[in-house]
Amino acid sequence: MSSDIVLKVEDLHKSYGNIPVLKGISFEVRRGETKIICGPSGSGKSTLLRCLNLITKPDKGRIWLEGEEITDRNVNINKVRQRIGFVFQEFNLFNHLTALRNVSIGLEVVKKMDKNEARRIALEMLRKVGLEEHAHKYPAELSGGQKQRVAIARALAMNPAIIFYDEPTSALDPQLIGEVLEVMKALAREKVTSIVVTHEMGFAQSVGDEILFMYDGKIIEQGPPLQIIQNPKCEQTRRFFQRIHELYARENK
Amino acid sequence: MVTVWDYLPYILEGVWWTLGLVGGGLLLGFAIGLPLAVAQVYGNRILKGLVEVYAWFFRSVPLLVLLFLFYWGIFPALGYKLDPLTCSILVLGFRSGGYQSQIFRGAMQSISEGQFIAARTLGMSNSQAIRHIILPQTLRIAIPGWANEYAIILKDSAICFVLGVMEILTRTRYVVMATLEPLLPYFIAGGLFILLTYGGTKLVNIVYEKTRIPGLIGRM
Amino acid sequence: MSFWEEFISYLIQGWITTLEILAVCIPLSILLGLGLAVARVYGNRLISLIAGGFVALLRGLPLVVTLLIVFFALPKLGIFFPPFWAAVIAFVMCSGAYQSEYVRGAIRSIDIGQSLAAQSLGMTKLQEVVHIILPQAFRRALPGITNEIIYLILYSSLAYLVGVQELFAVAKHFNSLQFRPIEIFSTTALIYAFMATIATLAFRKIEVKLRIPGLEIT
Repeated sequence: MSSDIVLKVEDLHKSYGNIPVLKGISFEVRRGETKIICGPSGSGKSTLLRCLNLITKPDKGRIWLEGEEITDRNVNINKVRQRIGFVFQEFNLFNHLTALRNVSIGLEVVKKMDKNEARRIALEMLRKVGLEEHAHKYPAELSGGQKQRVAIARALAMNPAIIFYDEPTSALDPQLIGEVLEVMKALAREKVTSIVVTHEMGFAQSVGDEILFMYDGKIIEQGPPLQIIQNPKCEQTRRFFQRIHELYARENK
Repeated sequence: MVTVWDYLPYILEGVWWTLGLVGGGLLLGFAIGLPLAVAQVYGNRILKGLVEVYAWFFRSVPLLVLLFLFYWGIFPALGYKLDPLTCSILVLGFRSGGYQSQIFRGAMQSISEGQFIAARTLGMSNSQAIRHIILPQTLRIAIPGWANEYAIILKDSAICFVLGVMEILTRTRYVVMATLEPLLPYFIAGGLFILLTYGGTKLVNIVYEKTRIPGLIGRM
Repeated sequence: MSFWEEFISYLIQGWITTLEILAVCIPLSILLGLGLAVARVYGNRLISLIAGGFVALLRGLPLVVTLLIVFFALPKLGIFFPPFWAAVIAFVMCSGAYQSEYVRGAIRSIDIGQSLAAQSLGMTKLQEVVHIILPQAFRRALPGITNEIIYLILYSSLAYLVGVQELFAVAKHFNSLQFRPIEIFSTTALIYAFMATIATLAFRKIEVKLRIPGLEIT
């Protein structure tokens, strides 16, 4: 396997009860790449991300992270998760910790890093997302956009091989979306490898390397963003982007 | 002539015994209740069931019955001849453990599941996530409930007079017998308990304000 | 007669007395709780102060102290109660005081618009409280009231201290005759647990019966 493949997924399946949610997903993510996943709600996007870091156990299929098979029974899953950053739709910041400690706690507890060193890295990460001056605030004292930027810094601090974003702007007020997307764009330009589940087509077009379009538990179309958005082959894809386009047009009026 | 007031220091000495009962009971209850709560929220089905039975039993039986059951029945049968104070502290603690487990469980369940998942995605193990993310929040959220538990256990500690623990009420009753004057001693005892109830609650609330974190709201 | 036969016949007598205590105390304590809460929220300053002081006093005192005062100390002031009624009075005052806290909180949680709407229909304050506020507040307070009733069931055992021959008193007496504490007190424990559990289930049923959408506990 070529060393510049960070994540490789092969024939992933997942059902809840007897309802299949993922029906055989395969794809690869190369180093430095930003993969966009989109598709209608219920198509399995979030389940896919959760299966990829084994928060949800896939029923079948194999996943490799930097060449190591993580679906192998003998793999220490906590070690694997350190190398996968995860940014949630609902931020999930730790409410009892300041922004700074939210970012440093993983380094201290999981990586057993010295407190001062962890703090230094955490501050650097907060600077990167533009929140250095809010380092000592608690989550309840931050806006939604600021919370999400802290969450990104928290993921980044672990120096992960790849970051998953699960609809990172869907829970935000429209005027707060921009600041989060700016941070994500900057990271993408720095060639931080990532998978982004999002409906922000502007973001997808400007920094996405490829769009995977999911429908009913399968990837039914994939390719460069411009081509997928403007000239999709499948009927479902065409309808989906048309719907998104109308939605945005209405909002912009 | 000896009056009730001559006995005041004797009654006041009971405050230490009462506080001993309360402190011992609360601490033991904490040591039992917190692990039980963790087991009830994060344990498997068998563990959950066991905790539920424990909490149900100790919350559904009068303290009076528990004191007699343990003092005359269970401890002697197990080969322990305990003095009234130790036995009372243990029973208050077992029982408070049942109540405290429910306080902590409620606090734990009010913490969003997403934070636990987020901790796991950072690579924390289950126990690391509980220790570093869930428990610190649980303890703060539980403080008002804990203040309430203090007030309850304080008032219940008076019932331990039935075993002859030398706490406030036992001494008060001796004074009543010695002076044949019931009114004043009972009022003194009542006053002491009221003072301890509201004073202690106030103290816990000060601790709560001191450890307050924005967005973490405690619940009774 | 075998141990168990004799024990059961003892227990049943005591159990009946316990149920009598509860049959009197439960409705009276609920009424007192409602009354105290209304007095505190709607009474003039004096009434509200008196009711508030009463609640603070009863919540600060251990129930056992209240009971001993009612039975042993009040006679000194010329106020006598037979044991059963001394126990009932202490239990009702204590439980009523605790319950009133839940009812008061529930009254406070009801939107001011309800009151304005009642007034705009021409209701008197009394009509408003009885027909509009209390039916809503009672539902919201019910889980808290249930808790207090459970406590009442457990603490009814304290009546033995003033010589009422209730469940615990007969168990203790029987133990002094037979000295088999484990059997005797664990059976007694289970009877109390049984009553508490039945009461919990019964009140949950009542809660479901009375449930109105939008009046859930928040």
